[in-house]
Amino acid sequence: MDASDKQYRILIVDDSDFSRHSISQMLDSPRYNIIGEAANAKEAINILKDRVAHLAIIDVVMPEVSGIELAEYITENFKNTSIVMISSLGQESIVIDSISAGASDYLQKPFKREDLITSIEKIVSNIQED
Amino acid sequence: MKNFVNEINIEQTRSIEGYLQSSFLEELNIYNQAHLILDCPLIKTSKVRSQTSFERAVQFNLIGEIQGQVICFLDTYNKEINPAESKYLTSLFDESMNILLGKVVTNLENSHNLSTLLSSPIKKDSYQLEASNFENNTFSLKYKLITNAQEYDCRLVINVLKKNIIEV
Repeated sequence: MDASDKQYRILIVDDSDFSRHSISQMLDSPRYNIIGEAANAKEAINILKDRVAHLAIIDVVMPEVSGIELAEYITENFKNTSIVMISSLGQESIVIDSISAGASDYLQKPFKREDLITSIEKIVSNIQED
Repeated sequence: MKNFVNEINIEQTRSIEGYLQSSFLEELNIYNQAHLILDCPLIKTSKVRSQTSFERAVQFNLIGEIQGQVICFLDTYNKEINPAESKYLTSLFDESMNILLGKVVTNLENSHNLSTLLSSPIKKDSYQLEASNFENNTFSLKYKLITNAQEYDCRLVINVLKKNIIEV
């Protein structure tokens, strides 16, 4: 299968229903399979234990467990899942913390669909074929 | 000494007003699904109107060099909203305010070196401002939230509880 034909499995983690819905709409394409939407870290981990994701899109600021803590956990425990962090915050220190936690990219909200797709495609282009 | 302390506090408050004024955006596109347009710029205020029965609200806390709380109100007076739209509107409003305030705290750090973070949205039955550490610390501003050809009035009340730049 050509890499351009492959379908990528994506998990969306954000405490905002509106944000999850908006991202899901942006990724409405046969190329992307949204395997789940989680409103917090616990839900996200439960989904990942059950289903494999190539990519997790994770909001930084969430109640209880932050997106950065979740990214660290996923990096450690789900090594085949790449991470894109998203947030309304754009401070350099938060971007650095996100990358240190294992994220491959960081997008400040509100991002455009093209920016999200570019970020995802850059990351999945490095994913090895199964 | 007391006068000196008061002078410092007034000067800090003036600075905060200026920092906040310059950090709020005039317009913001929320994923092409809503627009926020500044309707009334930030002003210092001494009286804050209580939440009306038509207003939905969400609170965010400011953490860091500027500490405080922001309460955002969405006025639904005279709007016909069915239950399905209602949930969507609340979620859209909460996230729009999160995105707007995220931009503000980012601007505070990038333009004014004020390292401040924003909490996740806090939902309560009723919203009250906390007592402040110094006077003249409450500010308000208004936005229009436009979505699905409807226009909603939004007001934001910002209560700065503490500013950790100058230790008095």
